[in-house]
Amino acid sequence: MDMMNLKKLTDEELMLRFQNGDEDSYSELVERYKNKLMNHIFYYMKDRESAEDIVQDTFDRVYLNKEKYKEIAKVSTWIYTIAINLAKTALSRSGKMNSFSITGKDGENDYEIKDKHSSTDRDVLKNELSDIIMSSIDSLEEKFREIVMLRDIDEMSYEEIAALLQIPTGTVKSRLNRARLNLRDAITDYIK
Amino acid sequence: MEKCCRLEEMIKKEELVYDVIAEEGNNEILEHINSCSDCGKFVSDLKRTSDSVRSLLKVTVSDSFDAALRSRINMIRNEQKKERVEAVPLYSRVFYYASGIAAIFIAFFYISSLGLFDNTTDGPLPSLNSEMSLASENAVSKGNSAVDSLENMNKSVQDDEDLRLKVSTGE
Repeated sequence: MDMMNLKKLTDEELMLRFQNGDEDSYSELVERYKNKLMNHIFYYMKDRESAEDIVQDTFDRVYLNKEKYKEIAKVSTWIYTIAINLAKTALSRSGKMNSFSITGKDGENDYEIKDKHSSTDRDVLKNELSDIIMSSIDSLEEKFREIVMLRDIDEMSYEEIAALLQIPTGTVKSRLNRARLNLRDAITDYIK
Repeated sequence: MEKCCRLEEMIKKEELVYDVIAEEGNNEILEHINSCSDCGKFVSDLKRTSDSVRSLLKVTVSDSFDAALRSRINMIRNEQKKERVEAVPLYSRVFYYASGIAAIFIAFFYISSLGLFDNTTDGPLPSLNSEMSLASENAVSKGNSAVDSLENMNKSVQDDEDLRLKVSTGE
């Protein structure tokens, strides 16, 4: 099957073909996700080089562990989970995790320790407004920040976010509400 | 006049999700947003906030990404190949290589038995052996003619000598 026809297949169909040895299907998956992942992971890492390393590592893992993917999950969920886990591991190893939380089961007992600003590669966030928006997103608790990024930066549906974070769709919506209200308070004066 | 916070309260109490106000087509809420300037402003602030986040610059991979990934995947493939070979027990590998060598010998003897290496001139091309025997025959005949000419030369010298002797004796 040529590359034009591969573009018509769903992610899950491509993954199945890849599991059966079709390497072109893997290339198509890389093509579909490399920039989406880069964009998402960059806002985690705040550093282009580290983000690109994480994305490369993610596709390495996808290649090596293709047999572990089961059709019960969406391919996007599986790939994002790998990438986010790698990013979190890298951040915790480098001690650059913006915040960490000790979260109770119901999410009520959050003890957040936030840093002012982790070291950042602001070469792509040159304008002041972007900087303010990014700072505001950074200042959110991790569980809210993650959802804003997935919804507004990666443009995922509520269902996709819920599957990825393994939380109910209702929780996704309520966290997004809280996150947006906090962001509105932080940036509304700048965007008028 | 007191500021209306109906929508803000609903969102804070999680009775309403900003994103789905329009999607769910809740007419009562939509009418309130249209008629209440405070709630209208609140919703438009939320929308602007969301749009601002969406407008953040999209970061893409560098030009060298594909080449770097390809080389990493090639390395993985080579390692997997190596692991597959190493996973085969030593005696199996020895048997495998010995079988290969035996197959080559069997093929050689089989082709030999067909007579392809025999000295025959029936075929369209002369065999190597026939070429060599022809060359050696030529060499022998060339050697014979050289001996003959040497004998002829000796004979003519002898004749000259006899003639000179006859002249000197006056015969």
